[in-house]
Amino acid sequence: MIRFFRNAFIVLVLLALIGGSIWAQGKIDPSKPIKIVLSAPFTGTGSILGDYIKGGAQLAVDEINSSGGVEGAKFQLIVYDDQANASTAATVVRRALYEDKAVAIFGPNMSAAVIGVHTLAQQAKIPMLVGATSVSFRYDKVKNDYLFRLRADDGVKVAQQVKYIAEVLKAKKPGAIVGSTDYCTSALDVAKQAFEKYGIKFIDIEMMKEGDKDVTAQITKLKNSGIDVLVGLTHEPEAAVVMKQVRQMKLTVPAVGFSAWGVPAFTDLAGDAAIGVISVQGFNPTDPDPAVKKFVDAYKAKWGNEPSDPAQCYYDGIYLLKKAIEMAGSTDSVKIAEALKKVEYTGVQGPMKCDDLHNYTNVCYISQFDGKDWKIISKLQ
Amino acid sequence: MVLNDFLQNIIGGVTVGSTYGLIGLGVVFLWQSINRINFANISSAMLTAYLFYSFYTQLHFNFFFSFITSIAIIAIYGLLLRYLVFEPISRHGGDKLEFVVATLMLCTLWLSVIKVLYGGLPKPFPPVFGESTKFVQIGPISIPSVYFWIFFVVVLLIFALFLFLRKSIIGKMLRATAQNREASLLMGINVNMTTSLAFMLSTTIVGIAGILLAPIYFVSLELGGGSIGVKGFASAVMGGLIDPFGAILGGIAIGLVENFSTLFISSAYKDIISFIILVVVLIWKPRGIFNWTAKGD
Amino acid sequence: MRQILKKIIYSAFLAIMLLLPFFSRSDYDLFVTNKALLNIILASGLVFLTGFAGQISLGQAGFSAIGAYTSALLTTRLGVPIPIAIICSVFLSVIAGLFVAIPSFRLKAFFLSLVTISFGQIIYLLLVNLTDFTGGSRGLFNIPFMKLGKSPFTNTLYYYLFLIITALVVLLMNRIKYSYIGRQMFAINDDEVAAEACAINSKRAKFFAFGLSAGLAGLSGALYAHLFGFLTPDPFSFFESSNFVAMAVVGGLRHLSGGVVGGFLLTWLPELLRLNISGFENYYLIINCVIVLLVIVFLPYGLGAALFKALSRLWGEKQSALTLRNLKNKSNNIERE
Repeated sequence: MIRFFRNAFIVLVLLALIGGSIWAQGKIDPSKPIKIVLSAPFTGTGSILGDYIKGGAQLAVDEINSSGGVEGAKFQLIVYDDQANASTAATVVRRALYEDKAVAIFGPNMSAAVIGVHTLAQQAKIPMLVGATSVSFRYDKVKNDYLFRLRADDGVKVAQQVKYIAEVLKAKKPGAIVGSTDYCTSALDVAKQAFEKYGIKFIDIEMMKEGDKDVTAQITKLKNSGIDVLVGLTHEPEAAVVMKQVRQMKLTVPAVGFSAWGVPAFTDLAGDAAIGVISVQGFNPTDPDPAVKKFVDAYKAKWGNEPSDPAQCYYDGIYLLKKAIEMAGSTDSVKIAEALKKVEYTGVQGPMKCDDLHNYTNVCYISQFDGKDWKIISKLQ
Repeated sequence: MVLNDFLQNIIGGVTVGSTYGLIGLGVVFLWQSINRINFANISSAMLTAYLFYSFYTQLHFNFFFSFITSIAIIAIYGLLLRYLVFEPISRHGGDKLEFVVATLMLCTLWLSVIKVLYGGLPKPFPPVFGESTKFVQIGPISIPSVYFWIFFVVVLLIFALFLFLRKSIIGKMLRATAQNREASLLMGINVNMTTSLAFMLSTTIVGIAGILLAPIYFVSLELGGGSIGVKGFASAVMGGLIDPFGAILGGIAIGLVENFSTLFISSAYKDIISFIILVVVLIWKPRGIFNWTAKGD
Repeated sequence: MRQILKKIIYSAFLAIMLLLPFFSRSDYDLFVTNKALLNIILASGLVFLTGFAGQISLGQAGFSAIGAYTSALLTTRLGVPIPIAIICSVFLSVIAGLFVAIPSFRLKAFFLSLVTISFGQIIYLLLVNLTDFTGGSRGLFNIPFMKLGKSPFTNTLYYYLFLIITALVVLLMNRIKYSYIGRQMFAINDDEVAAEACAINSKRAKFFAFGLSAGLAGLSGALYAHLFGFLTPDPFSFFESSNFVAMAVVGGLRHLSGGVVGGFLLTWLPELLRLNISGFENYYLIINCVIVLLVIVFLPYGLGAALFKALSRLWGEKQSALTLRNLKNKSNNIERE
């Protein structure tokens, strides 16, 4: 008898919890804030950049809300975890579009997720601003009027990387170590094309897998093929493993890495092995540009640590949205999307304007790590 | 040139493999004691590594304090595991499968907790075993100095365990309980105490393995994830699930297989090959590679 | 009186299920419910395999992957019509299931679980590495949606389709449970040696159990591919396999409703926990795990079993002998002192 009541009680409590949360979600905030949804990876495998992404976005939202909002109305930032996973992103984006009825969506940050869900934004006619960098969803390929990119895409960055190698280092026999995710392999494709313009081909390309801790075999092969520069196209932990073993095996050629190499996530792990490494970066906190410094200081003050790529592009993105809403004069998402195509804004990443590929900026740096900071060698605007 | 690669891979394989063996030991101790598999076995490794990281790098305590405190905490965790998870499940009528699923959930839970507390990006393991970029040159082979430390600690630990299990009274009680619980009870052995001891030993040994693996795998969520965990299970299985030393040998075997499949076949398929070998071993020699005595069930 | 109550509750349940699209507030709700229905199909198969036949499997996502990618590849690369592609993928999954059944003849419990984990991981790693074939982590896109005439299915139409399929699956489970095949399963679960002594061919029974659960998982995967329109290896990882087992356990392993309750609840739970509280996006997974842990620790028979036990007391019916027998604790002397 008691067991019956106990079981019934448990079932009722669970039903109440479920019903309650369904009920709680339908509630509308009476003061009518402007809803924006951020989809970012907070759990899951792979690059868990959610904290940086949210850090940049939340900082912008708080700054805007505390200085008058968008013509009086405040932003409401709703954050969801998409687990760096295209399937979860599909659910989260649907929630943002149909349940929260957001006026704009920021993210997903993972390229595979963007490719899977951007048509939803197009169907719902709600703008989607992403920091994902794959070239596969440039405007000329997908023709989605509601998809915008907030930072330099991989095509631009790899071109810069190759340009530096070919023109400054004057290397003729590049070797590459490449990861196995889409980020790495599409960068390799772009790099091959970019090198061709200089009449250069890769002498040796070695593959590694995410999670590999030993690449001595690959480095041996690279060393034996006589390369004069090592092109690194991997994610951060793999980069650290590669550089440690490059030093161990005394491969002394210069190492030029892709954007995942230019972040603290790599240098912290690699320690001294990262000294001297050159990388293309999407963001450099030591940039003397006053806009960058202001952002870095504000971010540090609020969150306690320095920002890293891609925090800055979501920060800029929120301000871009504000300007677009003001330009459109309404929170109608179709009008906002129209405005986003025309709006101009100077942010942390410099002057931002929507180009033919629906990219807002091509800014990137070539820098060298000196053990403490990344010293900027050149900056492309 | 090929001989050097060979030797290098043997050294790497044995060193890392022995830590897999330690993780397998954690599995064996618990299996022998309560006939259950703890699928959150590997979480102890991750938790201890992060605890050590907190004490040493974040709070700036010295090495010994950090090490001992982390180990102590993870030992207490073993006790909590018994009284908060295992006992309630058996009391409410749950059997092996419920324990499996509960510990699976526990494993995911720890991954999420660590993610919330420390963020998702890997952290560098402090250079307590020598700078990670330092290595020792023996002829044409260069061995990271970390490997020496790892191997040294593993050998020390195995020796200590050997003495404990074979020579000390408590060790003998532990072994007796593992062999035959009812008879041990009849002999007046405090089976309650040995069960708790088994839990604590299980988590502690895996915890030490975690600290040893952290220089290679970084202080990361990888340490508590599935890939190393399965290697731990595989090591235990290779040793037939009953003999601790079989687990160590099994782990070394796995480490060697891993390294050599990277050398001869590509690294992309290394994991697939490890799994295929595991399945083959399970089907072909379920009593362990070296055919220990009857496996329990 | 009690009989009328029973009829009312059942009819209300039926009505809610049939009219759900009109109750739901948005496309998102329907979408998640569709995912839930697919998980119900898979979890029911798992309940059958693990709960009834006693064979543990931590690699169901592997069968689901085979179903999903087969259907996706057949429809995108070869232009096969969707229904035929789905049938082919179920067929392939069943064959895979028969293969995985073979180790179960010699291996029990933990050892079998290792084999199933390996199977699931091998499939996952193949998905990630065979990029030319499966698209790798880049994914496989432009999988055709099911079409009604010219226009693709909306979530509502998918809902009704999945509902019909799920209902058929549950009905099938019911028939099997009370048939002689079902009793063979329970027999080998209880005591395999004794069952063999009663002339039950345990090998054939295991083949059946694995084949059926793999087929259902494959069906779930194939429908998933056409619901989403794209595939990546992520939903077929070990994490998902363990989630599926959690669904089966939380729902209730020994009870028919296990797959339904577990699949539905554990699909909706993470979604419901996506509350609009700042910072919560970090905690929801923790709470998800804790809730599942609590259910397993305190209600190891599962919520479905508890629900039906409560309901049958409500309308004063005795539960069937088979159900009662299943809910009895398999006494295990080893840790009781």
